Amino acid sequence: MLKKSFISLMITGAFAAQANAQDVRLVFEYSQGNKAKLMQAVKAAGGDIKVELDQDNAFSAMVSYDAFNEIKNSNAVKSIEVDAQRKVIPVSEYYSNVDGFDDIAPYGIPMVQANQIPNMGGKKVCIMDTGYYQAHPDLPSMDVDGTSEGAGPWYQDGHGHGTHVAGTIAAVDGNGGITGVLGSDEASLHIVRVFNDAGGWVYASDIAGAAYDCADAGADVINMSLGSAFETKVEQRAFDRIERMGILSVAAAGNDQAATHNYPASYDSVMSVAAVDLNEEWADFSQRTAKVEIAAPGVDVVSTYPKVGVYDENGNVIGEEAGPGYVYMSGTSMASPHVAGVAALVWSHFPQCNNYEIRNALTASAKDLGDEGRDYKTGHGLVQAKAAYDYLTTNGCDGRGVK
Amino acid sequence: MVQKNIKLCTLALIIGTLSTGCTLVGEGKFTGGGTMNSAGGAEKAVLTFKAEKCDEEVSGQMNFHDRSAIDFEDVGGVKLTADITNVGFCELTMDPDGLGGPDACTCENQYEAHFTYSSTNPAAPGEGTGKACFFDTGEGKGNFHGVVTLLAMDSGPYQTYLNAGTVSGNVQEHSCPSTKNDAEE
Repeated sequence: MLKKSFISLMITGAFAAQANAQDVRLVFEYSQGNKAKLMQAVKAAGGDIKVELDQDNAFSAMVSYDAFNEIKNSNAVKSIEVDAQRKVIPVSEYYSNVDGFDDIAPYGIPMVQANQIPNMGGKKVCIMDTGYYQAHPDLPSMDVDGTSEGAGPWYQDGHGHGTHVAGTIAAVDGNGGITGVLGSDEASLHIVRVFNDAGGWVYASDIAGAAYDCADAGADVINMSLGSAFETKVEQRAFDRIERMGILSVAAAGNDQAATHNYPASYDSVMSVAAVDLNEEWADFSQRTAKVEIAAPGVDVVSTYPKVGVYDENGNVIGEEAGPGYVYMSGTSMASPHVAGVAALVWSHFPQCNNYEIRNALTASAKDLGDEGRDYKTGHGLVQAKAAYDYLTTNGCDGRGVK
Repeated sequence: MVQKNIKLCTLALIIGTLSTGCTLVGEGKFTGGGTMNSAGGAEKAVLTFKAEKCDEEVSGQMNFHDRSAIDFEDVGGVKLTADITNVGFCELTMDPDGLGGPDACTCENQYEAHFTYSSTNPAAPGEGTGKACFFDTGEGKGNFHGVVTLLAMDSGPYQTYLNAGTVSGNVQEHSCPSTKNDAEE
């Protein structure tokens, strides 16, 4: 049953709608100096330009299959690839039987040692997701800005996934509610809203564009609790470039319960994060690959949410309504922000380090789980903030580290 | 709507009830080859194939090698040669007469090939069956990257193998050879 379920996930979730309605979203790479010529050819064939990626001499467009057959013979074409879908990656969610908490640290905070070192600030985390419920009293508001990429205002979140991810990274300590990894001080965040309230899907070229939005906003760390099965050249180049710009990209390994890659997590320039539970046991939904680099809590993680539960007289949830609340979610989507937060937290103590050195410190100091040494389920092991801090205190860094 | 149709198609696959489902239709010739990601491994898998269905005759071969597939590490990876047993465009059908037979397929609105394979890895000998779904990117003046949306082995020594990925290379559809079409006319 698992195998058949996974087949359906692959087909429905990753690609098949592309073949729908005879329209296909493609990424066109043009030979140098031929952008205008190729864009004109695409428009003339009825294509709809979606994202321009000048850094990579490329743009994406929705075209009909007939139009593709017209365009492909243009001398301006250097390459064409299918623009793969990218989705938010949830597994499950449920309300707690209370909507408020009184200054609690979710189990993941001590598990990743985020309560052992304070946030010194100065490092900005960019979150690509469903938005940010800015009105939530448990989330930072002073140093938060964002970019809206056509899915709705960045400061709203009718879905909840993005707000949950943000809370794990940055829920403020000492004001009631919960605390996030960076919660000892108001975190600096940039929100890029790529998904709509339905949590639908976008394309790899949208994610590449969003990565450049993060870079333009001065981000140091990017969190991507999203992905799907197909790599694209243009997205890979974007994250390679983002890495060379000094930014650390972190993404969910995926929840398909299989030994298959998930992108962008499986690009070399991105840290792929697996999920573990309260007992530091690997979560069986977490994808196993050679690219899984590190692990973090991702089962029954409580965090901020833009809605509250509605209960019957017996305390059973019978619905939900708008308002700041809290919810439990499971998935590598929940593990990834723990790592992104820890990266910013540790980096705030060592601003002279570069992204390669921070990444190396996180993996070198991770708590080994499962099979001895690096393994496909949890990579180097559980991310550990204090151990990474101690590693850098002992070994130092000079900002010249490389992969 | 298409996603809904896909759900219908795959739902039939999952629960095994084929009151509605998909069948392979059409004729054509498909060629492709290149590298794609491994099933969880660090290295690239290598794929070449030729599949043809013209005048209702099916022929073709596939070679595939995923040396770093992590679930087959202990035998040195997946390596096989295959004979194509069916190929076509996978379409949703409500006709119960067309379901459940050799033309039943999985990947609605994509091309799909079925095959029998022989392992060429001495550490994992045996034969089995499988399917591959793919998207045609055609050929033109640039470089074209195809997509294999599903590569799954249903039986044999690689029964649990599952993969999907972008092919650095080409996946092309061609018309049936004119001699065959002419002969039919």
